[in-house]
Amino acid sequence: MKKLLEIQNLNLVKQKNTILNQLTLNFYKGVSVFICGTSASGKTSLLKAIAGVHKYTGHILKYGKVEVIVDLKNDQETIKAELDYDNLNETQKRIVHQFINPRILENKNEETNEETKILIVLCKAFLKEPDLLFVDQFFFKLSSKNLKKVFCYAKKKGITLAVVSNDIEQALNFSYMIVLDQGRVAIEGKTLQVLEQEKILKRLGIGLPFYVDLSIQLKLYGLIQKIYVTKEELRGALWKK
Amino acid sequence: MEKIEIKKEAINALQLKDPQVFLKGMNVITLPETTENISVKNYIFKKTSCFDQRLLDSLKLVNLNEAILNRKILVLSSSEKIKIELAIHLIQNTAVLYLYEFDRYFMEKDLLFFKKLFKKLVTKYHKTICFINCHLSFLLDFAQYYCLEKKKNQFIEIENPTFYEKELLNYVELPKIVEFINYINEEGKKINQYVDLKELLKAIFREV
Repeated sequence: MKKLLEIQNLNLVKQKNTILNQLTLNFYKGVSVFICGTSASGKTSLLKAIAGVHKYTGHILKYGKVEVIVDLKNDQETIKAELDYDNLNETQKRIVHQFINPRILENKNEETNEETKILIVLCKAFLKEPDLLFVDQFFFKLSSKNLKKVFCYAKKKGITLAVVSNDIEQALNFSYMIVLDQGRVAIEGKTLQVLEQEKILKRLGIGLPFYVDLSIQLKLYGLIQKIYVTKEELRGALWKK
Repeated sequence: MEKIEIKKEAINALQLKDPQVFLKGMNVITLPETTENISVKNYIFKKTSCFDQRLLDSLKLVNLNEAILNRKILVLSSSEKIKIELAIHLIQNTAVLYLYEFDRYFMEKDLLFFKKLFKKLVTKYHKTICFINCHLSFLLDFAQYYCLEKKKNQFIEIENPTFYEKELLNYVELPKIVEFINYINEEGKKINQYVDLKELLKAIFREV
């Protein structure tokens, strides 16, 4: 697996407060990552350090093109200007059209709804053809239809997504999971393996996705043997057809 | 935009097509856009002119301690900033608290804490709470009044719905427990419409 980003002993101190503490992480091509954590655990600070916004000590080694989206700020007056649409080639314009209706390109940025703003920043990042794309919490404000589009596009183009979120249900859409607590990694690993560490997650105040939670309880009762993440699988296991 | 009715002394949930239009010019609790590198104490003082017991009480209510007062507002995490904004509104004794995408900044444990706090603010302090959210799932077990924008400027109002209210669930993403129980029942099993995982577990145990 190709390594895209390596973070070694990352320390971030803001006004004598340690935000990130000796953080070591690796990101690989094709391994999408869900990053969550307790309040003030350093999730957004981690993204800002990778983006170069925050000063840090330690190493952030990039082996591929890495893009980071931490806010929805748009500087230009219209969506068209924001995307520098007139200077895009036909292929790039087709990318934009997948996410943004061409009819609204002339619309003013300030009159744009939040969902479109998210799609604009994602489009801008996609146009840079990143290998690894980090997105902060607002990602899951997208409707399920647009989320699906974004996941499909990223998969098709070989873009590895790493998303920060508190919406634990969404963790199941990612293959790897990192849980931060007080600037350190509390747990990391394949998503299901992390979610099975129920006691640690609950101690941190992090819930479980519904089907994982239900499966763990049913497993304790001896009704099923493993964890299921969809209603169809769980029903099939409980009431064998 | 058509006038939206907010129920007084209740927990309201609004799902709007374009929340930014509704939020324009309103005093909403959301991430502050300040760029001033000042201490939390000064930030709160600038907004409330308050530095007495009310400040400490409000911080305590939102689960912060006074140590945060000496930190700089810009270095706080998103969740801490939202808590500070909420504390400011409590100091100001705002009658209606508008909260935009509040749940986005918190994990389950914090949300449980805040659900209790908001209920207390309504019952004990006669506040009106109004959540403006694109996803309403986290509100389904405690908001009393729902206003959903079906089409632009066409609203549906629902009061005290059950978790399984069809009218509501047509517009709101199904909570997973509802999704699962509905699915199981469609498949010919008989499980009541529970909202609690433990109750569901017992029911499955009886049914399997």
